[in-house]
Amino acid sequence: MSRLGVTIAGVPFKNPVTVASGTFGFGREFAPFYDLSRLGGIVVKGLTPAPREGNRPPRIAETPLGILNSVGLQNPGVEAFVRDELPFLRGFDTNIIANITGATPQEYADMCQTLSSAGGVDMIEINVSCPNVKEGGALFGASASGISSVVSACRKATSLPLIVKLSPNVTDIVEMAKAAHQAGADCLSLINTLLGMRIDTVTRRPILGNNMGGLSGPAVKPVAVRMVYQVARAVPLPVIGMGGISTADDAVEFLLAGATAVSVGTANLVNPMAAVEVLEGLRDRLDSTGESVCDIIGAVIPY
Amino acid sequence: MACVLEQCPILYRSELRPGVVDMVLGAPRIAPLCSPGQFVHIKCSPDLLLRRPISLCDVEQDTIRLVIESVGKGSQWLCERQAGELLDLLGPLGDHGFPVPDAAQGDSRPLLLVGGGVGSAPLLYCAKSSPVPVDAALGFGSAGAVILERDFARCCRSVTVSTDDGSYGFAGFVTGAAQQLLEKEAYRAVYACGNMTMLRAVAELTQRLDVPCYLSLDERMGCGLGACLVCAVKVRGEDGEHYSHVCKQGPVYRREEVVFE
Repeated sequence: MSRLGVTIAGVPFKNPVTVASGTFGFGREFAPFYDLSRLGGIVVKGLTPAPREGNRPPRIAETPLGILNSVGLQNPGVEAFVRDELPFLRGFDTNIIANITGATPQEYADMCQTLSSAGGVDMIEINVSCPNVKEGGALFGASASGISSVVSACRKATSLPLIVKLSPNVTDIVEMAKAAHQAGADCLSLINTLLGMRIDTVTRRPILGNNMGGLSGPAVKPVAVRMVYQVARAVPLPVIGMGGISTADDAVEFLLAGATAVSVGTANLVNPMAAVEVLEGLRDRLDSTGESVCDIIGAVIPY
Repeated sequence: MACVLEQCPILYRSELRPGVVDMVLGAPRIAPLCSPGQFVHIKCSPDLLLRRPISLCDVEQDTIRLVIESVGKGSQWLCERQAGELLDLLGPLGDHGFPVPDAAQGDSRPLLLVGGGVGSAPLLYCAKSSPVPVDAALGFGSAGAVILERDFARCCRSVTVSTDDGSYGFAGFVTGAAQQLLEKEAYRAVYACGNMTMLRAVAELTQRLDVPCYLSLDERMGCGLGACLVCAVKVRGEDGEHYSHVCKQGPVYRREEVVFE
């Protein structure tokens, strides 16, 4: 394996740099900028059983070094993804990770089956942490029992590796991570967005049409690093770390905290080249120290 | 459609009026890809994360012209840039700009452009690209707010400037000026850019007079590429209403598509 390679739940990644769900569509918009095969993996836009139109606009608000979004899982539905998007993604030599949200554990399980039989999906990321939908999503991620019910249902429905994407909007992230592990998760990804709000002080109206939304970007990075650090030490599962990564140094911070791979998210909205720039920076950095990625995973030296 | 990242030097900068800056950027990679109605997405100061979408006011062989109004932190930062500085541009964006009128089949009916305030700027590019005669109706708050009148005069058959307070030109809203023109002559279409209140009035006017109409819409935007799905506007399609994304499926829509909420 090369210096950049990692293995997660038996799936080889040529490098630890992936792109986060919801910031990369189904890859088409970024393909003109670089060869998507350069990425370690692509986590596609969150899928639901049926098409969803998403929330009323505005759906984005800028905050100090961050953004709030309230897209609300607008997507064409899992079947349209398999039919219209997956064939395009299969053309790239990278891991395809399907992100799913359901209103019930059964809906999650049904989507797992659909995606498993479609072929070409390497892993499934279970979203129990979307703050922008009323049903499902963060509702499940807010309690250990909710996580357990969804992950158990998915585990029975597929043999594909399961990633559970955790919400930071909980009292104890480690408790949630343990629940996911016990229910059969193969990997954890964190963090999803932090629930936030902005208000226009002149109109006295929230800026987002959904009133509240999920905060992401560099502003959340210290929270994300802390949670990755806590979870990676407490649970014997690989972690995909994300939250405000826009440079190689950010990525190294997450790897040191214990992440086996990282996701570039909000930075894709600012710079379409962000993920490959993180990758190139990481390669340069490892070349200069002579280390491999595996050498720095969890290598933080705490006091 | 093709779009690229390009570091563009500001070749020229002037103030059209306080708070509105006119700049020409060297953009040899972006310029040849542009068409009227499209926009570029510009990185602002390091402490502002999101790019800001700015409509193309004019495009030459290897330069683009932008007119930017300082309305928030991002546009204020852009307005403060000086000639010689580099801007980080992504563009051109927006797969659906204003259609270039088809002069074939002997249809010589003119095109009417209706602009509100700084929303007039992207219509200049339409006027300069049009193979058919163009009339422009441009509305502003008052005489001091008028911009680009001479630029339009150079490429249009006629320019009617209106001011809400009557301090210059036609007294009243720009839709009043547009209505006078539309009642006098048969236009092939109306292209409009401005705030939603104005666009709604133009939509109602052109519907009443049965003239085709295209509207350039605006919404808070993220990636600009159609990936993040934040810049949603409600549109009417064959199978009912749905959210469209201004950055990719827009920014220009047929009047019949736009759902005013």
